[in-house]
Amino acid sequence: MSAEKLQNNTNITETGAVPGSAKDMVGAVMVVGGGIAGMQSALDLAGSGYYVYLVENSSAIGGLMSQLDKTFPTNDCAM
Amino acid sequence: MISPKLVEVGRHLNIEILTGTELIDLKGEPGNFKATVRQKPRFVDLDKCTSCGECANICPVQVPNEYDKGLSLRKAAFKQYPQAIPGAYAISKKGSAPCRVACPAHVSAQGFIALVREGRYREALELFKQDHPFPGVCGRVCNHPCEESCTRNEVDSTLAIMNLHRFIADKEMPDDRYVPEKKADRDEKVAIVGGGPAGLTCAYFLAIEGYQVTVFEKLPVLGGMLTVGIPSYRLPRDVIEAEIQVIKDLGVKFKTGVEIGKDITVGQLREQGYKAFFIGIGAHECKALGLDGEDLKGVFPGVEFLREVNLGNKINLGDRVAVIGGGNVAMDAVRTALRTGSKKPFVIYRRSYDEMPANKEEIEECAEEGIEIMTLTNPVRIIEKDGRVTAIECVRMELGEPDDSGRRRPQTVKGSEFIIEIDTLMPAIGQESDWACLTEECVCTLSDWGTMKVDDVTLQTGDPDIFAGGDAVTGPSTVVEAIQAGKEAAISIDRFIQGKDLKKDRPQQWVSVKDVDIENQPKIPREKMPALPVEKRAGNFVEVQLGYPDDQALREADRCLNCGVCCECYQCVEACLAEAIDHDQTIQDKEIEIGSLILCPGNDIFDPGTLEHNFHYKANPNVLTSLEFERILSASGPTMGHLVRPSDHKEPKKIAWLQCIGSRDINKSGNGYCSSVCCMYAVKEAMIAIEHSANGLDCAIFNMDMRTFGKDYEKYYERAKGNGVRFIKSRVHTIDEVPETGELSIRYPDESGKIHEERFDMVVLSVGFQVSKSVIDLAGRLNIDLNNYHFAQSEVFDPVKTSREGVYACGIFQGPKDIPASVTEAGAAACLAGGRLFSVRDTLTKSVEFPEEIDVLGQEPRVGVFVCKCGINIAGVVDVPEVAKYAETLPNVVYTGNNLFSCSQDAQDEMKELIEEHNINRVVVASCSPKTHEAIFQDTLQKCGLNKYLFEMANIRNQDSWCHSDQPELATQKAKELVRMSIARAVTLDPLHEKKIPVNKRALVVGGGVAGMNAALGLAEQGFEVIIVEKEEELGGMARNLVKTIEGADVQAYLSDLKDKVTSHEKIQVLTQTLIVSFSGFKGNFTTEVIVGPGMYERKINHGAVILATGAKEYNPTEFLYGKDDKVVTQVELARRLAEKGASDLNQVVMIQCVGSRNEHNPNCSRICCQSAVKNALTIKKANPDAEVYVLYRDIRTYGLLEDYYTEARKLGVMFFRFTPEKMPQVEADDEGLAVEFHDHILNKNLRLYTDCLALSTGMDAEDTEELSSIMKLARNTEGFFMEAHVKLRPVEMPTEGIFVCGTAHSPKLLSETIAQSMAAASRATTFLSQTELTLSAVTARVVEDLCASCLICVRSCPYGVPRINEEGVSEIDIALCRGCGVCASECPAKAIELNWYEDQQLLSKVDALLEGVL
Repeated sequence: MSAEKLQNNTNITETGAVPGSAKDMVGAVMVVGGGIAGMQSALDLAGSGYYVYLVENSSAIGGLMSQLDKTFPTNDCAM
Repeated sequence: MISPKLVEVGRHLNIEILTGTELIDLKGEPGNFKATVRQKPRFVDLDKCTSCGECANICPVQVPNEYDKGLSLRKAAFKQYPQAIPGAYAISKKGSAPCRVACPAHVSAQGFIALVREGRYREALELFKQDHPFPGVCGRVCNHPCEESCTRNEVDSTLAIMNLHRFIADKEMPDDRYVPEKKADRDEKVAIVGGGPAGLTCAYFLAIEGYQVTVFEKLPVLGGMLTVGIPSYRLPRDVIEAEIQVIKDLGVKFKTGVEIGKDITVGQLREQGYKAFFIGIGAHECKALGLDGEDLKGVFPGVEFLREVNLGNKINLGDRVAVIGGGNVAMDAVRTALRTGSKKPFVIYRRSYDEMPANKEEIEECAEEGIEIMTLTNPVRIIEKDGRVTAIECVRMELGEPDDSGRRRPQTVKGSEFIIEIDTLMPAIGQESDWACLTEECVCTLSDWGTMKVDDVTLQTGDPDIFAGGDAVTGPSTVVEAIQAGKEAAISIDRFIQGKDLKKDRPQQWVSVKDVDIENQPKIPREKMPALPVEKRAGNFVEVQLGYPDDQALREADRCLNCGVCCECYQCVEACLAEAIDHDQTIQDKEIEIGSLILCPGNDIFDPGTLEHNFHYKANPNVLTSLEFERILSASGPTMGHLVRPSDHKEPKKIAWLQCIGSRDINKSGNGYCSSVCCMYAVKEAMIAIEHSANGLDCAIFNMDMRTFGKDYEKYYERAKGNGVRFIKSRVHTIDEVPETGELSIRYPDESGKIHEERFDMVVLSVGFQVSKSVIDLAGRLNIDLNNYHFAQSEVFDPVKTSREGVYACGIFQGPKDIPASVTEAGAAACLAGGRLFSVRDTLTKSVEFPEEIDVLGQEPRVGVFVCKCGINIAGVVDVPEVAKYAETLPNVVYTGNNLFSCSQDAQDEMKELIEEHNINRVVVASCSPKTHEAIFQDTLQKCGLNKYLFEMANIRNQDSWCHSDQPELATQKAKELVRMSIARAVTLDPLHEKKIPVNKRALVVGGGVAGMNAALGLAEQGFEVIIVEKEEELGGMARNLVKTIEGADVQAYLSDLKDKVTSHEKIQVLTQTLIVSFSGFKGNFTTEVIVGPGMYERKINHGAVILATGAKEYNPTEFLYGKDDKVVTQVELARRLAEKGASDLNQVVMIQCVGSRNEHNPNCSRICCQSAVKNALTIKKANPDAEVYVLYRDIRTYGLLEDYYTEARKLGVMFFRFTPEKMPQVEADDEGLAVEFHDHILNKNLRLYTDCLALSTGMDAEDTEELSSIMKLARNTEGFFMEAHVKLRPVEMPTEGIFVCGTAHSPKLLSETIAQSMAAASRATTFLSQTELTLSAVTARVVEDLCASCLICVRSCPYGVPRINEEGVSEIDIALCRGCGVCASECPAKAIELNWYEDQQLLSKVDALLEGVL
């Protein structure tokens, strides 16, 4: 991103999107919960240029969905 | 379905998965938070574990498998499920078991017991001996503090831990004793003074460390008190000798009959080169009673007596022997006296039985043997005649206040003196040490008690090279404490000699497990130790306790509660060839800097155990929760997908589902909300269950309302009805168990009130979501507001924002919802979380840089073959070195090797070196599946500068060793053939190059309603240019007609604010009155032509992504006199009327649901109409409480938290009447007004009433997008809504890459849902637009133009519609659109299409290689 564009973007502060200046910001996001929601958030963010810490309480991600057999309404295998 | 997503997350360079981790605290500001996380130990190194599963195979501990909801067992070393990411195993360890913590030597008791349970006695013994050299000795004479702390004691009685380690010691064959492995020999000499348990233990551990150890013992025999203090009927000599023999076998030298200080001194030994000393001389001198006459004849101290007898000397004590004391020495002395011929030995003890320090077993055995114990009696005077004891005067005692030891202090009873005639007086009230060994060169000092002063932790004395322990330091104590002292001293001496810090990390901290489930444990009696009959004991020293036989030992071992889960048997450490197990891991706290936080911790499901009285869930195995039933249906579940009922494994014939368990239930569970998913999963489970049943299955779903409100869900419900699933309108509150049959009986009223009774083989409780305590705690720690049901508090127009800025919520933490809604919200949360950080995008992400590619074209193929052992997964069956040797003989192979785990990091590094060293230009890996591992190896190729397509895998695991494990020779042969085929193909491979295309960073949003505007803002705030095209004059879409949401939020105020934000945003351009006329291009590079404004000027827009937000419209009714009678309005019209005119003029209002939905016009449910009706009914009732409001409905679908409004409406007196499509309400206008007639089920008659207003709850119809779809080639369902790429996991993506959909263009939905979905679409689009270029796969189809006959078969067969016949009349395949599936290549009759990397000759080369020499 060029300096000029960065300047433009930080101007958006007025709309409330970017409080604080860019040098204080951290380009990483923590996602708590490794179920399907957490996985999707993590993929979206990591795919958009942010480093993601995906925090999961159990020993593996997948959450409740990994325990399902089939899913409605297509009867696709959940796994 | 979830599996590819798991892999994608697991392999993503910029996603760091922290398992076993909790967020503890969040400090700082939005954009710059400091998050503190706490990570529990996994005990398995993620980087080293290769997921081979050997740890689980060897693990002796089985626990209920949470993944199968307890319907199956798993090991303590486990993988949550086969496809789990991370793939590494984990070990469940709550902490150390209390028995281990209590044992002074910290023997892993739970561990050896778990091994006993499995019949692995040798391993059990080996484990024991890691911490303690005397399992047999201590198995007889230990005071077993382990048993006192045993959790089983809280259930029934303590586990017989001591008897069990005696058992494993006794099991050892005399000619095959286990001798621990010694480390490398060391030169340093160590002297042990005293051959008792402390000294022997110290010698044992030092010998294992490799030291030259010599034990000096004053007595002619070894074993100290074990040998000379304890009689052999309790501890047979051969048991001691056998265990000492092991120490001899370790190379320890013994010098008996040598008295240090007399025969040789410490100083002389130092001169001889001894580097350190351990003094464990014990306490062998009897303490005096303190009475006059203790030097008389006939006074024989207990320890001296035992020593003499144990040394084989004959002692005649006479018949009447008075043993003074209540400890083990006293018991041993009196029982020994009985065995050496005294007729009446007895015990005098000054306190009561309860205070006796002797083992309970010994006291009991005394009683069995007829020995009298005179308690509360104290000797006060020795009576003599002719220099010999003749009698003793005693006094009675009573117990007073407790003394320092906690025991009650004995006090003399005045005037109670009496005299007992005796032959021998035997004091046994304690012992002290003889310190003659300390000569003047020793500077160490003694305490006032005559014991050696040492450092508590290191046992070092005043002389740095002298250490001491056991009774010599503590005074008379237990064997196991002496053992622990010897062990600690060995650690100190080792460190002392090596010049290390003696105190570092000492003493080891032991934390005992506390939360052990003892409530659900059946009571099992402790196995009784078999004993020698009393009549066979007198006059001999035969061992009294006989030891457990195998069956008793196994039963006793089975009583262990596995307190720690992992039993610390360390078998996994041995089994893991990758050396990934690390039992020393501890809890780690760390602080992580983050810009935003997303919370989606999920929730629990409701526990029906709290309604046991109603549903017998805990008591009856045939009553299951829906999630348990889900596991039973699953092919990977406890019954491998075989539908059987748990009680008898018979196939059920009738199953009932009971809906709303723990949902829509304020009375019992307090959960007033609807869980939103249970109706659909119940329908699904019933349908799948029917599929699983060969002989037919009757499924009945008992419900209040069927809430199948999602996109296409109603069609699914109708299909289930067609399949014979019964839907019964009744809420079942109680079921009854039918005795002996396992069946369950359900009594229920039908809608007319008639009671029915039916029996079912199984009952499934459709349990809802339950907010878990851990989630409430998390929110509390982070200061996040929760609503009345403890879901995250959010606002209607900000559905994923929490009360704390910079923190977002999604999934079922935000509210009950299904998978598509969770995925959608996850995208919305990502959009906002990333949006505020876009100025620092790409600052923390990592990327891989590969070296420049080596040009291999024209080079002779040089193949490197790497054959993987996969631990023993492959090597246990296939002869891997043999396969490698064979590969060497094949043409073009320049290198072969084999690895333990080819995928491990070190193997990859080695492979890189070998590729470079041998100039390898084609790589074959013979290991596992390319599905999981290809990318790892391709990475390594790229790191060497090799094109990643010069690679081939032979799957000799999944397709060979796993399926032919019983035929190793043939499996080896097959592996060779698979490898030969792969080498043949590798030789034919050419480099392929992935094309990179630039991305246009502008997005086009089609539609300017709430969805389109939010999507545009989402993208603009990430810094991307957006163009909104809207066909109307004005922005706002359908929301322009809306007044308030059901929560009371002002839609117009929101809309006006939103429009302001959009129109004033410098990155957003709005084109109103605009139509799309043409569309072309592919992901990242689209071109759309539009006609703008009344002037119809043309404009061409280049953009990288498209978001479809074309919306929907209210159904325009033709029924119920709409448009003919002005009292008939739609709910939208009614809402506006209420806002404008109020409700004071409305006395009777009727609402009819499902107008234009769930019928032939539109088979789906429109989702929003029930809440619209409830919203307007509430407005009327609140404005005019006297108004009567009738809602005629089919099912009320106020899902999620909307249920509260339905409850409120009923409370306020809104009346709800159900109708069926067969008996639709009738509306007619007559002279009296507008009449509505409908059927009331309860009264079973038709009601007719006149209404001031008839509100029709009209559904939503899709906007007319026919032309747009044909221009942009977009798929729509039959109702005209756009079809997403995948219902569950890609709810905002269209099948064409780069095109996204949101809002009601996708399906009917609420404003809050629309907002979430539009931000999700923006988020997905961001993943596209934030890249500077897109990489296209090189595996695409390619047309050989000369061969093409333009027969159109490829055009028709391509599932993605990519091939087209171009101007030259031949098929053309755009590589930017081709997915590389290969369908066209296989279909083309002219063989004009080749699929890169799977060219005909590349595949045929494998076939030729396989059939080489056969054809």
